[in-house]
Amino acid sequence: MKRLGLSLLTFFSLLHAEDSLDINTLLTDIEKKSDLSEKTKLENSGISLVYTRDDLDRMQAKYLKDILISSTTYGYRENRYSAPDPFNRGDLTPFVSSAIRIFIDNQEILGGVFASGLANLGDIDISFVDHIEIYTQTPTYEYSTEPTFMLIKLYTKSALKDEGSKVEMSYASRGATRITAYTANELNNDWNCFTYATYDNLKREKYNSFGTALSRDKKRTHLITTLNNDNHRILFENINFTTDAFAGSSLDATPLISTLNVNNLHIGYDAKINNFSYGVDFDQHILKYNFLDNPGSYIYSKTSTTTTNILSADANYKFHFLKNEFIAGAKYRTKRYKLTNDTKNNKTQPKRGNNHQDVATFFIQNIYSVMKNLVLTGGVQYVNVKNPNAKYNNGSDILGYRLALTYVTPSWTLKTVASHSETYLEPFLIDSDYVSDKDLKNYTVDFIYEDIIYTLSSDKFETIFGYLRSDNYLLPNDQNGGKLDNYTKTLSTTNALFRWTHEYRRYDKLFIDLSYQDVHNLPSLSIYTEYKAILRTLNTFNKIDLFNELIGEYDNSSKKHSFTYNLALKYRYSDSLSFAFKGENIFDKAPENSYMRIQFTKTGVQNLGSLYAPSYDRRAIVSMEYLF
Amino acid sequence: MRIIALLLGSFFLLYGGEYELRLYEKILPILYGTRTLKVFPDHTTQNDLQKSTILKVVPNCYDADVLIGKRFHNLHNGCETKPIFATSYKSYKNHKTVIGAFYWRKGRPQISFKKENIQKFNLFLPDSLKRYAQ
Repeated sequence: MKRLGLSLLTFFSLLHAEDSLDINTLLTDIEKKSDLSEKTKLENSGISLVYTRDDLDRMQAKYLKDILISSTTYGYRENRYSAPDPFNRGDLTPFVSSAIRIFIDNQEILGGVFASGLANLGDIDISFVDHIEIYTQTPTYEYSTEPTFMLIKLYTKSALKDEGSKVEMSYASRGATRITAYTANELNNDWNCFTYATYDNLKREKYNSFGTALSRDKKRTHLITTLNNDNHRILFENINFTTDAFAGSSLDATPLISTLNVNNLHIGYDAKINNFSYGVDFDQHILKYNFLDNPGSYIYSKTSTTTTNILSADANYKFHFLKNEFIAGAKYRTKRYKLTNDTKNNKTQPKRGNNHQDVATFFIQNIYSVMKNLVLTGGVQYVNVKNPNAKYNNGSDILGYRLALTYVTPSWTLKTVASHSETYLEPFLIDSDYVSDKDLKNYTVDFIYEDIIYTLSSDKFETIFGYLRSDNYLLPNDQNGGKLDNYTKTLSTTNALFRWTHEYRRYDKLFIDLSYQDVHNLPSLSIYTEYKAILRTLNTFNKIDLFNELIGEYDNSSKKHSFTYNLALKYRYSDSLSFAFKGENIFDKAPENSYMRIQFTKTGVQNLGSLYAPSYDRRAIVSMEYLF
Repeated sequence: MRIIALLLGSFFLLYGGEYELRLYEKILPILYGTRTLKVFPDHTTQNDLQKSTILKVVPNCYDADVLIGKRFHNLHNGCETKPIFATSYKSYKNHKTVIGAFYWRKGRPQISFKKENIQKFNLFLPDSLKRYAQ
């Protein structure tokens, strides 16, 4: 009788609990806060910035550049060939951001002779992405086959969360159109398949340079397929685009024709079985450049087709011993490239001997638990680079190392990270017109960062202090016709950052980021200083998502204040259908990049004054997405 | 090392798996009319379920009130008739003894209950959950 009474009491108390059971709220919590980055984020990994799926969705981040504009002090910049290239300063070098590496899942997407795939992927549509992780410096040697200053990891959606299909169509200023679709399915035998395709017809703002309208319009198709189970992943990726290459090789930025066509193919396989992980990737990059300038120009015509085939293989073994977690690994990458249809001023150029580069990497890394909440990470990496057929810079041995100390309590995270790395010449620079005719030294980068994070239930405060110095950095040498040369002075940078993330209501989020950076000993300026402030809010009111972002920047070189204001609104009509509006750079005050303009005269080089143009256009986008 | 990992992942208190666990802890005791339940996980739910104070993980499926997961291909004798709370759409559709499921489809979390099996196993589906029943 007593047991029956207890059972009834239990049953009725549960019924009462059921009254307060708000399944919809719980499902919304799961949707908003279920975050796969918690599973993929590299532990003890140095300085990272994570954009969750919910962040990306509510920010309406349609392109990777929407994220990059606010993710680093370097922001997002395009070079004079209209390629994403954050470190460029508008000179003729085709790409200078090779140390920013980009991964899809665990596989690096390469960019042919430019090494990094950022030139191709820096402005891609990211509707295939679940979440993004951005690491400053090498987070772990597991991923960095080659020197890395910044690592961008894009994680694809999968059938785990996205079983079904989605189509999104958008229309933007100047008649730009975009259609993107994906489908995710769980196959038999625990395999998942995700397929994504997009077509983009990007219409960009045109800029006038001495009467010539410079265009960056681009037509692009992008296809990604992943097949994966718990331990194995196959990734197929193909991007093809034709773009108006802005000022291109025109010294005074008045090209008659300047177009680039790129086709990049990646096929890769990676696996993790117990303590052993390995991978094999093949990348093919075909780059065609067609350029015509006014007769009489120093360079009045140029054509080239560069085909690069790259094969990479890596294997890592992880094992535990007492309080240590050791990882040892080896990687090998071979790049073969050939230049065809290589003409300048209608003359076929002499063939260069330089046609392949081999990179072999070995590393060992240990994570030692000093205490339950104190971890010491140390790693050493040896890289052997060979350019066997090069006239100059035909090889080098590089030693890199990193040391990190991480202390964590439920509220505090303290990280100190120090490292040394060396960066060698990428294939397109070797024996080229862009560098001095001599053996150049590898430039070195030493840095130390302190990262302090304090978390409360709905707040996260982060402060980062950093110091970086670089010797033998490659900069244009005016005494050598502007060719890249080792800089004789030591460049040093100090930076400080304060970041506050505040969840002030269940689905409302505030993000503030204030940063300062200075660079000492630049050729043109003894101290370059840069300030950046970001204010971002994410709000959800019933079926409406609202996003506001204001980015303010100032530097003492341009002495210009710039403001990028973005606004996005999304209305969820039903579970399957939503409509959205986004305004980018609404006040048209985004930071401008300066593009060098010169001409050769009988008396020497005449500076015509730089052309200023922002890399982030003002535009409005309306879109509709349908899930089925 | 695990402590470091857990602490690093503790921002905003909970992450995906723990919200899902909270959902199972809310729904299943109501269906069974009891405060605690014996559950048998598959390898995809094992880690999360072991953190529960309401759902007690048992090593043998035969002792369990309900199986929670998406991969139950080789069950022991007698276990094939046990009720399953599925964690994927595919297992919800394929298993004959499914009483309900939590799964992601089209980027959104969903729950569903199979009316026929709820009745077959004499379980109680409250009014607030009836709209998820099929």
